[in-house]
Amino acid sequence: MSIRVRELLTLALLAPAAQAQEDVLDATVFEQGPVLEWDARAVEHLLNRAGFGARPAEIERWVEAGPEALLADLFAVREDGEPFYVDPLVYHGKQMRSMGREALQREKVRLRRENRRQQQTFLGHWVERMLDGSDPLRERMVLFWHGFFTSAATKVRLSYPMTRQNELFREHALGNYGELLGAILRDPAMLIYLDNVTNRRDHPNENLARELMELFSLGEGNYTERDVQEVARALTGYTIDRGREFRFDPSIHDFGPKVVLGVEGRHDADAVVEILLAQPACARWVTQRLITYLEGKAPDDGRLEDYAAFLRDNDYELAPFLERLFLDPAFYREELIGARVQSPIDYLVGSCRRLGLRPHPGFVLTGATYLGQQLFEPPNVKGWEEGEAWITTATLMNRGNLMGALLGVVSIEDLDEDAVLTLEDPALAMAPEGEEGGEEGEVATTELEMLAGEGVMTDEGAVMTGSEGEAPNAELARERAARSRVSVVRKILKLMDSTGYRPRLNLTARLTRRHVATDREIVDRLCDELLAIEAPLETRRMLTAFLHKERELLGRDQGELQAGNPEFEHLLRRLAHLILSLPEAQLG
Amino acid sequence: MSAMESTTLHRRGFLTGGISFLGGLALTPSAARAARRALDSQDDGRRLVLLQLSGGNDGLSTVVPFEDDAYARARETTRMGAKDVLRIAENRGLHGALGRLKAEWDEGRVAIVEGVGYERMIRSHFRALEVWHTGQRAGRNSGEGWVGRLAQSAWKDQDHPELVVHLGRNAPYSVYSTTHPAVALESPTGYQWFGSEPEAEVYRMAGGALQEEARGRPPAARHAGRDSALAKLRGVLDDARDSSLRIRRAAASYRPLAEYPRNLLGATLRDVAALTHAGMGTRVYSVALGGFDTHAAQRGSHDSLMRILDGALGAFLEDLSYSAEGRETVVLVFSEFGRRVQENASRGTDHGKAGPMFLFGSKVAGGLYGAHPSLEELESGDLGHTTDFRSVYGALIEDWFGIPHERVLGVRYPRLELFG
Repeated sequence: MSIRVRELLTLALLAPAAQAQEDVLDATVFEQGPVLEWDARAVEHLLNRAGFGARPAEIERWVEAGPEALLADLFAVREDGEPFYVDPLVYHGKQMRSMGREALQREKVRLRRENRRQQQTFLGHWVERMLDGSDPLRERMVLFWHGFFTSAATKVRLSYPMTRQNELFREHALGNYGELLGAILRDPAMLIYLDNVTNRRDHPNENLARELMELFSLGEGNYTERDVQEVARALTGYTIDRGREFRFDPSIHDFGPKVVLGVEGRHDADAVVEILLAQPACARWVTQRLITYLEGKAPDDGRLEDYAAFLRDNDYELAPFLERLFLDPAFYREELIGARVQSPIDYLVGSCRRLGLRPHPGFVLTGATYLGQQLFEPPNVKGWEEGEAWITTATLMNRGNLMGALLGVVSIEDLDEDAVLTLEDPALAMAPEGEEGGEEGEVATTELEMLAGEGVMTDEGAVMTGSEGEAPNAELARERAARSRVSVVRKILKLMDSTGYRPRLNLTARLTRRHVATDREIVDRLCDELLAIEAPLETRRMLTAFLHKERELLGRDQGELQAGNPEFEHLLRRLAHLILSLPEAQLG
Repeated sequence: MSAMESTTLHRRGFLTGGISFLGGLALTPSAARAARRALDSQDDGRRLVLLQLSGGNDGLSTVVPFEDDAYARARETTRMGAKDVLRIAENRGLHGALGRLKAEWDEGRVAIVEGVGYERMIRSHFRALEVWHTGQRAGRNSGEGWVGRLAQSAWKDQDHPELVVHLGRNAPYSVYSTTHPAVALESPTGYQWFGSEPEAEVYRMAGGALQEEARGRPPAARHAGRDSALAKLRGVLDDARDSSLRIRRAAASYRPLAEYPRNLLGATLRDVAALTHAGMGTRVYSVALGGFDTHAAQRGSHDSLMRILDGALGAFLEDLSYSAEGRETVVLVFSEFGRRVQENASRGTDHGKAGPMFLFGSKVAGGLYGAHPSLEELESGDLGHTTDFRSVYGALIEDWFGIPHERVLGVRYPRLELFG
């Protein structure tokens, strides 16, 4: 139990009520009582937030084993966590320039395809680790850092630096924030994403310097424009080589004296990191981001100061910080439990885990993209807006549709095609592409700009275009047009079909094993297993009424649950689909 | 107040009555009528359709300076002469395939702004689109999309879900907003929850109706957080149910008064027309036509793109011309950049800079605006811009939607009078 809790207890006993207003006292914690109530609800909450949700059997085990045991497991160093191997795939401008036109075109197509394949493979591995890896806390934090130190593949263009950055997050996920900050200033993907590859002594680029302070360390209002300029100077020469590896180029670095946040010196990136870490605002910013992400709600001032001081006192070590947070009774307060809207990744990965289904990782990657969270493509430098912003009318319905596909209760034949869809004649339609394009017209004035601005992705239009002024490859255009006006669920179903997916699920057996028989028991059990939160009474009543009615339509009596009965299994899957489509299923 | 909180408040007004779990349905007929009226009353406004030509449209092949010697010299295979174009002014002709749009021009319903761009134009598709989508040179780093900011400034309290609608694959960043998220749908048919009817019936009442039911039970402090989150999500579920019905019904029951071509853009614009006439209070629609990145063998593909654009947009404008709603709608056509002046060796053109923008609609003051950039004095091979694209956004924000444009764009841009 944390020291703070004991302090609180003492204070509560000794201090008169008026002093309870002091900011050391977090009113919420106090009201809840200082004791960490370790029950199924707490275990599930912790596994929702620190991992990607609990599997049904896990919860009971951890309730018995206790919080220390669960934390030890979460923080254990895993031997099987080898980094992914990725072949460096890079594009050497000079080499390609000497090619003939046709050879160049072929090479570009090859590189583009290879690049995409590599990125998808890597992201697939990542998703597999979330789905059933042994290190969920690490993967949770990798996802956090991906949204904190954002870079986007569209800008970076090559997947190789993006995958390297992801491995960097994995390495430091539970390590030291200061070290990670230092490393990110040498990270090729970041240097490309925030234009530091064009940051030169004679022509500084302030992009990385500004975001370094605004989003990566201090937060707005804790530095001046002058500081931005000075930090930009300190970061000159932090660039990459042709192989997309970090390179410090002294010939364009500004070795002159600088003043950063009042500290004078001939600062370089490391010196800047040291200056930033010494700022109280830095610990506050990181604390605020971490707690808001994990709790789903910004901490109040008292809690923020308390945890920021703890982070600073521990030299920005992340593991003790997280351990303390996960043992803090305030982490389990009523205001937080079950109150956070899950991100698309959380929702999809968590649902697979709770159902015990293991689709191709493309289901999660593509599904999350449709729902607004494309891995390696955060919407902007601020990362994803978490919480309620995930849910719109369209994404709420599509979350449920993805579950229908996962459970095999919605098939392509079920999708009703109305008159609107038949209007189109794909043969006449053009592909609505164009967002991903090449840089063929880009004039590279220096090697650096070329590296920063040019990539392997040539535009689809040029590749598609045939010879002698023909219209773009008609077949390809047809296919893409046909794809482009169909629902998310249809696309996902096609994708799952192509991977040979069948839901390996036997809900009847799962329930009979547990001796669950009545409608109410079935609903309670399924809600318990499939939701990341406790379902309210009215929801369970509504679902029980549904099951009751549908069971009677099948002509079966209550309690007549037989494993292997296809009609009943299908009904249970429809029930599961409904449960996972409800507002209740979005929380966790 | 977040969009979701306010949505809940506004929506609660038309949920009535109790439900029975075994047979119940949430919306009674009278409530449905009330809902429709409530929405109709919001739908008194002007609309904007954004049509993005993705990939970088060749402006010189769209509004052709067909009498210009420099143009003729630079363009060998994409060159169009007097007989290939539809003349609209001295030394200006629309691409020969744009017959229906030329007819709109003749009626004075087309404003063409020439030489549109911005300082230090970007030639990467992705980053250039960021600039167009945010209206800011810093792109996404500057914050939300310009339509998102427009919604925030102009319709802060109008929180019905269909305020901004994107039809097509990926929603552009212009409609990205954390407070007024756009409804993004690939097709109206797909905008629904798929499940068989017994489940669908339960799904429909799992929102506000269930929330009403929840009010009957004693509040449990233990679930304070969960319950307040649930209340909001249940509001969204009700919105989703209603919105899905409205949009699918509107698309399915729509009888257009013009014949749309049977292609993707035609089908999409037909849906926009359907929604426009359904009284849903949508202010901004976003659609895109791709394929404009014509690096090789441009003539054939660009010609067919122009045919598609002319057919679909022409039908749409005709369809809109018959109704009051339609006459309150304008269409802005833009592309992330133009092409280089000099053709490349593959009979195509590479990424360039300035290009024309088009504004269509009954309330538009037709004519040529801005100035065509010089074809003699190029900016390292490119057309320099003579009008900032934000002047066009500014005209829409200010003269069409009636709010000072700096509230959306941050600063003021020179005025363009594009409306009659």
